[in-house]
Amino acid sequence: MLKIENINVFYGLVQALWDISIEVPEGSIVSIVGANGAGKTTLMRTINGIIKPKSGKIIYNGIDITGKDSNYVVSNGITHVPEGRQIFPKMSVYENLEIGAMFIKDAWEKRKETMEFVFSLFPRLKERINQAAGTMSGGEQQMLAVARALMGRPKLMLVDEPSLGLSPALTLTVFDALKKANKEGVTILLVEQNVKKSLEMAKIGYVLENGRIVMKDDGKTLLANPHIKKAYLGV
Amino acid sequence: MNTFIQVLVNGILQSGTYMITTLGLALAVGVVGILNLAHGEFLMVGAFLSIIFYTVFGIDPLISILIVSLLILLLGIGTYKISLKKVLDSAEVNQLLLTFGISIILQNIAVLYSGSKEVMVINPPYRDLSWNIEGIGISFSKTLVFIIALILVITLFYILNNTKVGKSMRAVEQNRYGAYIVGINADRIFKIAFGVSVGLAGLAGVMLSIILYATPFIGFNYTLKAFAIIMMAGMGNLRGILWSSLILGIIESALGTYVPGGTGWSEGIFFFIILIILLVKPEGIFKK
Repeated sequence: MLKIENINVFYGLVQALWDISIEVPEGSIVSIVGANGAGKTTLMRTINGIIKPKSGKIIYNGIDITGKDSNYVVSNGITHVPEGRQIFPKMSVYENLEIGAMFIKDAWEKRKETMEFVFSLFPRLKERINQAAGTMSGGEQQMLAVARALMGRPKLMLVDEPSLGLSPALTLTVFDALKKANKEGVTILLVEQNVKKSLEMAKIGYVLENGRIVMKDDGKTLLANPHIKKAYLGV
Repeated sequence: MNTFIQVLVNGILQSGTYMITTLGLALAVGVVGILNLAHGEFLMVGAFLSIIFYTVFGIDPLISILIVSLLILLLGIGTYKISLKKVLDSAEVNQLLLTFGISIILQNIAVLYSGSKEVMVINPPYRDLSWNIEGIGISFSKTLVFIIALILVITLFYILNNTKVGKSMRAVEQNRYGAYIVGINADRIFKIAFGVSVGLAGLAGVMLSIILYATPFIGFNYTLKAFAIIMMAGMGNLRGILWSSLILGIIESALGTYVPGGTGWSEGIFFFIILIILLVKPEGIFKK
């Protein structure tokens, strides 16, 4: 579904991503793990079109989306749960959800139905439907960010650090929601600091270190790898 | 009693002028976050065009208003594309410098046309028309300004809260990065918002050409007052602009009537009120 071929990304003169190639098969969950500063968020932003790569290709369902603007990428069914939530603080929960569907034709027509689905995943959001999003707790805002991305009825969802700053219970809720969405047919590319959880649920895992892919295998195998155990799980 | 009612009526009608001159800037500054120091100059150009249409082509301002607003809207979009777009992502002081420069250019173009001393006035037949109800005088043209201002405030409020483009404008201001993520074409939204913002300034200029006069230098005062009213209302709060304009209009009118020589104080009092509000409640008195 998504094929990234040898992309190189720079911030000014500093190279952040080196020759990255990643493949995300349709219907799967693919995890990218790596330390802070390894380039995970940069990679997500490059796919989404906010950062333009210097070289390489990003092919999505056969179309070349390399260097396209984010509104084009989104309208083709790739939505994004960004690092740091990035919700609209002065808008209500309802408006935030609505805006998640607003720029994707098919999603906009089916927004009522999709909203029922996201409320079934996060009943808390339904209770807060008219509350200004900025006044909710961090965990609730994270749920809203996931729900907003789902409102676009994505074919591919980029999920960046969904468990950052969440309690273990809330982390579970968010991961459960991602699994359910995946069962409904949403392909997920997940970037996560919670290495154990994300590799457990991933079909394929990649390890990103200093802007380069250093390992690729299926999730369970990576979890058993001695390097991963030592560097990321502290065992 | 009659004097009091007259004061109230004059104040309310005066508030229409404040609303109509502030509304466009409120959209740029308060809703999408573009600081435009040339707002008053776009208004001045609107007034000039209205006067030119009337004196040269004999077209009444109430007819030319649509053409003039549209022309200035296009002027705004052009300005955005050529210049403003390029400074939006840098420090805000760059927007101030750029739009200040634009204001000087527009002023000087107007001076080229009219000379710096001449005061331009037009006299459409309804200019001094007024009703007299039970001894209370109500100016026709000022009532018109008030009604149009009110309709515009309500329309803009509706658009911002109920349409895709309106919601996108609010989204872009609240979280630019979030806006990209949900697929908003931020560049297009800024272009539309800025175009409409100065288009509204042009429209205000046409209305003011009916009740007041125009020189190349009227703009700055309107920019200043519009910024002040926006601060008083609270950023992005259109309802607050309605109330702030009413309060300032009525105070100004009362001052002119009850205090000997009070009209001379009206500008001073205007900014004094704003100063007090900024000291006491810097987020604006009508901010929820």
